[in-house]
Amino acid sequence: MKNKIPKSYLNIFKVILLIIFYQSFILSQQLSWRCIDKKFQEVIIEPYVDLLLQDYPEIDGNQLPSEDDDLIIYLKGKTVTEILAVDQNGVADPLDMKIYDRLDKEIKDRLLKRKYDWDHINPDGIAFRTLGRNAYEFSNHKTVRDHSWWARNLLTANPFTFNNSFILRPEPGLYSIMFKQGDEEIGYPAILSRNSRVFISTEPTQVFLNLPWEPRNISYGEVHPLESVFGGGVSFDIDKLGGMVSYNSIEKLNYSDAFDPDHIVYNDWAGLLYWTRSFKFKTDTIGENSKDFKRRKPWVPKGTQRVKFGLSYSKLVYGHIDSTNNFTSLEVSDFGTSFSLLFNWTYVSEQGRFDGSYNYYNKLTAYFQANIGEKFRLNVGFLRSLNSSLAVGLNIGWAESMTYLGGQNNQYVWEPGLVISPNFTLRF
Amino acid sequence: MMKKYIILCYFISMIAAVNAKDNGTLNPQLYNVWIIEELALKIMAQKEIEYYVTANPEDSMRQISYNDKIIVIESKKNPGNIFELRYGSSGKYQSIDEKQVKWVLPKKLRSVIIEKDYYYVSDDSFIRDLQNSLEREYFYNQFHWTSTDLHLSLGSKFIADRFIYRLTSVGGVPISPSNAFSIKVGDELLGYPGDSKGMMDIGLLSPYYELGIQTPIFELVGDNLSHIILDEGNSNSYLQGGFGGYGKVLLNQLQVQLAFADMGENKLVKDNIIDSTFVDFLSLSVFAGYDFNFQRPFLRLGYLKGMFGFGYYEISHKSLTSDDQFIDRFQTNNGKILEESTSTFIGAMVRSDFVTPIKQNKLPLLHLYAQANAYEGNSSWQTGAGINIKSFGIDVTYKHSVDDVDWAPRDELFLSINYSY
Repeated sequence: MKNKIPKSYLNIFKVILLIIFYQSFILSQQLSWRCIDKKFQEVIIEPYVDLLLQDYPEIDGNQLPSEDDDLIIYLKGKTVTEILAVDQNGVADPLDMKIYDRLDKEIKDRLLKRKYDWDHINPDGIAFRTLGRNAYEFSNHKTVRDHSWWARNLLTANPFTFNNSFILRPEPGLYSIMFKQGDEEIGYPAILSRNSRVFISTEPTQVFLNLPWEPRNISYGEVHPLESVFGGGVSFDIDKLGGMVSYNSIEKLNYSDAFDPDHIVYNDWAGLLYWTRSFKFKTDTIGENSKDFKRRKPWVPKGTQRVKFGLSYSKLVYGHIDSTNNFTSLEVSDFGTSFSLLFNWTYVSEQGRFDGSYNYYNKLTAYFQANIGEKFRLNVGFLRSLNSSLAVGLNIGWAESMTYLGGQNNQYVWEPGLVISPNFTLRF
Repeated sequence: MMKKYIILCYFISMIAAVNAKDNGTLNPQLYNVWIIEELALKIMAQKEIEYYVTANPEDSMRQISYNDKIIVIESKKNPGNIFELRYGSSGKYQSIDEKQVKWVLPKKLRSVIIEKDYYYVSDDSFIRDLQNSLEREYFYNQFHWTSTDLHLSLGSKFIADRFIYRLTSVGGVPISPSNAFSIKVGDELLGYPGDSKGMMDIGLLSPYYELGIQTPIFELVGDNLSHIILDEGNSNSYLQGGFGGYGKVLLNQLQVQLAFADMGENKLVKDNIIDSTFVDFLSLSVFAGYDFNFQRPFLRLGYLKGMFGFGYYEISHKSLTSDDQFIDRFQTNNGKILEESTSTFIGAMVRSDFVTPIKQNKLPLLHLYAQANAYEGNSSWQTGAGINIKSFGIDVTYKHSVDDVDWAPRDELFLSINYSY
């Protein structure tokens, strides 16, 4: 029996769509802002008060708007529907619109021309959604994006642990140079790959070289990594899209350098295309704390989370190398096996500063990545800052085994393995 | 005393020169300049600019359009404030000065813009030498992006040799107009224009990157009138197509591109093999090029741009056997024995482009170029001309191969007709 969406759900969905459409229409007709220009406030309030006093000479002085009051203007079409005078304490009093209408046309025109300093009514609130996105809400997207793209500080390094990364971003400015061990995008980070990459990065783009170099690394686990290759690639990450393409060659590999000369698996080429978006990460506490007790700090502080969702392609080649350094390919992963769905979740807590330090830091960062295809690959990790310069964490990487030459006498099961790496990160 | 006045005048003139704001030109050392790439911020800024322009017709400011760039200029002497905001495209930029910015944009939006916690791209070219900004933008769009929502060029056995469709919405939801769907046949900068590369690129294009797959050029027209081989004896010299990927990124004025392909077991590849005995294809190419824009007009006739680059590529030699398997080949077409089944070439590329001044139209009336690819063992040069009238254009490219190779005739001509909307 086919599953059908109940009609009631469809109706609810239609109503929601109608409400969204109606709200958008209404909102598009309305406009409001806050005048924060003292000089211009005088221009409006001074003649307004004069007219008000003419009509109500006995009015209490406290009921008169002050020239220091901010003005909140509500507009429908080209008509001003309401003006509020907001005093220093945030108390808002509406102006009498009949009196406002009697003001000079030139003054009223100037109000609409908005040639003065102004702001949103509630600049810190979430009141300005733009086509499903809110620039202020997601403005810290850059923090979480930069966390995995390059660095926001001069130098970040985690020597001898996890991916041995070294990121130098002078100033921090327009360029950075970065070193990383492993092929994390395709699910073989750290020592699950015998390769390291050197990146030159700009804000939207990166160029990298793959080097057949496996630096020393404190990690635990039994692994059969992707074999050393020479190669390179390019990647980008801008707005909601990101991607990467890289190509490798195994021709320079020597028999004596191979991890297992009889059973070599290497990444011939890889591609990646993903959609990404960021959200605020909030931890709501349930109920009010008693005033006699300190509010319990949440386990996971507020921050920003980012998701990446896309397709990754990694063409793996299985073969062996003989003593004359001649590599023979025995099986190449087919189109279907090479594809996997990529899901990545990254979290960074809100930026803070330790006492006595001028450097900003993220107290906690964490990530989870799954490459879901015919075979599964999983990477998780976290990093906790002890101070603005030092952070410790843990990373786990695992890739499911693959069978090559299945059903044949020389069938081989490649087990990339599980790796657990501590992470000591230094920042300057 | 006179000496003091001279020194004073000198310093005043220096300061005036440093701060000169002649025709929008500023000293890049004194300002941070960037383009807002975050769509939500752009839309918010656009909305406020739209309101201001409509409410103040006496200011004669041009209205902002969806595809306009929004350029932020911050003075290093007064950080944390927007010194100037510009919006527009194709060299036509409306400027909003520091005082006016406070009127146009709300305080919160100004502070968010200046904090730069969003996608932006630093580019100080907008405050340098605006004399030929239309031409510079044309050159940029020609090589890295597009100046129109739709560009179609006909001139390949696939019919189209270039197709760009700029995406402005997906499923009705607006997206940043900096992504386009792209099809490109050939790689002119590498020395293989049009059909001569044997492969086409299908993928995504943006002002900062290109990414996609490479496929053989699917033959949709029998007699390809757009590719004319001028030496009759060499009509069988061509590269064939494999399946692979390509990517290109811009690191400011440096472009780096990578493309690779393999014959594999793909049926599409095998079906498009023309000569199964001598299968030569471009299995790997890497190219890096740096652009130089000449600021002064050339003999008052137009503008010049130069490019210098380095390229490396590999041509793989294979044969397709009767049992449908690709095997390595160690022999050339004329029986010469090859040491390897792959030939590699490395060398430099120089190119110069000339365009006549661009006025109302986004395209120049005439575009000429000359290019030399000095690869040891496989050098070539090419020259081309393009004539544009309104939205239509005709391009002609002539390529001469200096060295004798199996996969390229000595002289060939490529023709294309294009349309931009």
